[in-house]
Amino acid sequence: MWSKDLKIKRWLFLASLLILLIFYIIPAPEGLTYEGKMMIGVMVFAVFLFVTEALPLGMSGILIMIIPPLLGIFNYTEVFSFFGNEAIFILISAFILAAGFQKSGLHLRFSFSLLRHFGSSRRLFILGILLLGAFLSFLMSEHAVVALLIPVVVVSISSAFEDENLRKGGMIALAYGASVGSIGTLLGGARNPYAISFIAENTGVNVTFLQWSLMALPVVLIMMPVVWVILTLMFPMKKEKIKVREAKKGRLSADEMKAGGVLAATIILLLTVGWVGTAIITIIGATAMFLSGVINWKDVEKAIPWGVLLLYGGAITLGKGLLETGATTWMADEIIAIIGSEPAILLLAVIAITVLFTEFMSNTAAVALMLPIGMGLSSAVTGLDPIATSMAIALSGGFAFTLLVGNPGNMITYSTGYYRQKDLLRVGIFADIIGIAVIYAVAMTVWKFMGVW
Amino acid sequence: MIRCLIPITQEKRNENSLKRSCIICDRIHLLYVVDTEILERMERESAYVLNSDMLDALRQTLVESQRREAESIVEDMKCKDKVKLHFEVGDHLDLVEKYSLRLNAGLIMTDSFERVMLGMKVPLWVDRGNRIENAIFIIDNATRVKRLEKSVKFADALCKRLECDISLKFSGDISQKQIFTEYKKTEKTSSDLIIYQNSKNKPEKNCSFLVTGCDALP
Repeated sequence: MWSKDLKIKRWLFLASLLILLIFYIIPAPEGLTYEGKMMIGVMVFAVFLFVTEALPLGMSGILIMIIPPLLGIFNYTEVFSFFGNEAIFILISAFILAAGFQKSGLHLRFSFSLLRHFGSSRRLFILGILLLGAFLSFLMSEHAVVALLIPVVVVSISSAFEDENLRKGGMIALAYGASVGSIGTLLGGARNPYAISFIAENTGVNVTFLQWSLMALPVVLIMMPVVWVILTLMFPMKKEKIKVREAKKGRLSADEMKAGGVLAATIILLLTVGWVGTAIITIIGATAMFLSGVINWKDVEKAIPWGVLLLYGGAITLGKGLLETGATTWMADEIIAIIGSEPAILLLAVIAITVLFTEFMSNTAAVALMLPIGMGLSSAVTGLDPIATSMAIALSGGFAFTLLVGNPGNMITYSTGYYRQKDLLRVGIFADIIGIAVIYAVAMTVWKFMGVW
Repeated sequence: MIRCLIPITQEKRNENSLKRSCIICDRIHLLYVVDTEILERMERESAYVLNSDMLDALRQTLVESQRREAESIVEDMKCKDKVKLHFEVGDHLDLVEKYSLRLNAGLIMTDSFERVMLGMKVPLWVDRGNRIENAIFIIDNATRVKRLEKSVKFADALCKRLECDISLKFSGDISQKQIFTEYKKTEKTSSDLIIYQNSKNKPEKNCSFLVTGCDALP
């Protein structure tokens, strides 16, 4: 079984190298340099690896880093310096903060306490799961939220287990709640810090924690009830109440108070003095988590998913390579030749393509691929703001509602056996389409009103 | 005594078979398989975002949630007294084969045709959930009727429980066209149920017995 799998992966990997070879052989089209042509080749190579997963994503990330130096596009010492990026440090410290929160057990107390308020009807309970998933995803990685909340949802549903639609709706609500919530803050989706560092590097504008949340929260606030309505319409539930297990009784433990206190203080600092630098504040918060005694280094070693960080190496290399070689400008011109240069239509297209990409590959990878293209379009078209475009891409990267691939949250909840692929498909298509419309509408109205563009 | 084996996975719930089994089976063995492929896929998809401890804990939780799901399927059955649940984590088809031998199953019931199951030497019931009033037993050669006595009797017993009429049809007869060629339907019959004896090679030792709705075959 495994050897067959490995054989397929080897062939897929060889195929990915063939892509590079083809790009090497074909002549560069007019307006594109050799370097630009090869960077597009690296992009296609990356897409192929991300979709087929011939290599683990983290490994693909560092492999993508070494291709441009081999092709003479970058100096090899330069690509390794890309790891010295603020996004990497925001991520590391966010994972440390989340590890403390998780170890203290505060998430369980909070989850059951919250869900108890939504037990008066099963439809309302679905909203409770959505809100719980979303709220925790404001604080930690959405995939970790799904993994941590699976037992909570399973236990909560057990009192009404005979209701098949409750099981389906509950599990999908967990995945969707975490996905929608992950766009809300910089601590949620791992792609968010990458997006702000990309924006800072290419526009010189530092998007703070507060600014990000102000731009993203309208999307979250609209999507939550929308997803709730879709789920309750698609899976009509019985009207009876649901008995949610009582939360841990008694006062907060010392660890719960410390972890909660550190996290709250970090968020307050991020909201009030965010201009200091998101990475600086989150590193201070992570240090405080250590000093409080809630976690030790072993906990951190277990808590950090290195694959995500390594994937960033590839993402940053790809972004820089595409921009610096002029590949994005060339691609933008080609896209404009097809779609036209109307900013509103281009923005909609960029959002839709990102959602489509993220259905088939890791959302981080999809955002990493689309950000340089979006930036290229913004440079080529007057009226298409680079910050709004990049933010729209980053938010769209969280909306993988339809397929199991690309979103570990969907795959994890599916593995409970509570729903089938076709259930996810029929709900996800609606959620995807509405998600595209909501991001677009918010970008065109709220962000304009806020003066983003 | 008809002992039935109904394999269930997350994607193949075989709901028609579950319903029908209450009518035609004396003993129902429900084999719920958590396909390792799904768990491995989940681990592959999540490995870059979750640490190994989290993945281990998650795997256990997921298997337990599927166990609960399997138990709920039994609870929902009208004839749950006849049902015995077997819960396994592994390869779906390997486990079906293993259990069909271990339990000495008289019939494997599914809702969708899987060619590989015909090789398991156990009669296969493919249920599309239609109402059954007429059944037809198709044999490729009239001379085999005596040699296939057990099969004919078995088909007859099934039809009695379903309260439907049964008739024999010899596809080798001059009056009949060849109805099946290697399981491919070439002519539609008017019956609700087709009982097909594939008697190629050595029918007594190495044959499959397929009971299926008219539209069940690929």
